[in-house]
Amino acid sequence: MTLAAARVGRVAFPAIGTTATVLVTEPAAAHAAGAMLRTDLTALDLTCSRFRSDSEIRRLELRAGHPVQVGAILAGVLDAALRAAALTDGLVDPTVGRAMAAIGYDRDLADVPPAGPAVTPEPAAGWWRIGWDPRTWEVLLPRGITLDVGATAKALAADRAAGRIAAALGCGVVVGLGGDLAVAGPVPAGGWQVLVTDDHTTTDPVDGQGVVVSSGGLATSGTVRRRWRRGGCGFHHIVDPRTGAPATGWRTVSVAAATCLDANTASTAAVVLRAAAPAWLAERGLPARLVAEDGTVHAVAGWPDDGTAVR
Amino acid sequence: VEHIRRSRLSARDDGLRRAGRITGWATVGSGVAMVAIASVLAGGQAQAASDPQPPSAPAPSSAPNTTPKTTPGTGTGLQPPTTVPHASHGRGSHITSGSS
Repeated sequence: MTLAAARVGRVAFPAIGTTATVLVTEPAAAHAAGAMLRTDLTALDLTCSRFRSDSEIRRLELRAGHPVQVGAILAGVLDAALRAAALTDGLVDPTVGRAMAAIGYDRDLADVPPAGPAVTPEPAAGWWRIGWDPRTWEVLLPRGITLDVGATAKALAADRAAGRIAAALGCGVVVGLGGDLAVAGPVPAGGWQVLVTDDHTTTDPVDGQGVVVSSGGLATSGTVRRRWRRGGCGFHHIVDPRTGAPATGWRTVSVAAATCLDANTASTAAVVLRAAAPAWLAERGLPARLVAEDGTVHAVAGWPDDGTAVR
Repeated sequence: VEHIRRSRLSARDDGLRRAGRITGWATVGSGVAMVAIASVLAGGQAQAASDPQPPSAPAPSSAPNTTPKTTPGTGTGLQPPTTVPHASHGRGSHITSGSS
């Protein structure tokens, strides 16, 4: 017997360079949930956008070399980004801003020329150079460092928005920001049904795997979107901080964790880790689905097998 | 023998550095994000703890002690989900997780 997904309320809109979606178990609450998510993402963009000259993170860079007290949103984002860097030994590094710019991703993706002359990758400056006091929210950013907190900021925002909306509206919530999903509150009958696939805009189940999620976070990092060419070579938005070159080996990595932030941290690190990723994820007990560039699917740490996975 | 001894000492030092870094994050660095995540996991009950603090009254250094060390997502490592995803046998899906 097959069952259709339970009816829920849904609002989706473009935001922070991707698609923002909020699902609620009470359809009547969808409008209010959407408004709350919009408010959160507007504030996040104004704080963390790498491409807005008026963002707090850009203004922080203008004061490099001096201690600066940041606001609550940036404090949370920096704390999360540095925690992710520490827990992955720098595989996820917020100082990759210059590395991204060096390979051509120096403006909104829509404005990045699809092709251009050859570029030279530049390693990340190194997250450990950032001075950060979580008690006073004071940052000391060395000169020359450009921050890119996109991945962890998005996941943290999903966690926070889901929790806030569930608490305020008293219903079950999923917040999806691109490939990053955060679950809070009660789940609908049958659980939250998620299609895990290469591209977050896909709705065709033939292209992915259906799973049921009831808590925490699920994140997918991949190399099939946000692509461009320089010097005849393909580039994408996940770079190895150690080299500044685009990570290769995995098309997508999807990870389930206690929070969307932890799921995103692990999925991004796994893309960078290449062949070592399955063992790294298994060692941490993080259920994951990894799709190699040749389409081979690997499932680790209890991720459900759809009959195609290599274990 | 000297080479092996140096190699072992180097490995030990690497381990100590890593342990020190993680311990540091556990005892000192569980600041804003960790409190915020705790509020998410508590279904918003701890929302007040993650509210912005005025610059003149920075987050108290005792804040990490208010967060149970066993709370998922706030420990020293990446935390697995409390419930592992299972296969869906339905036709539809509520949402998609993919590259963005």
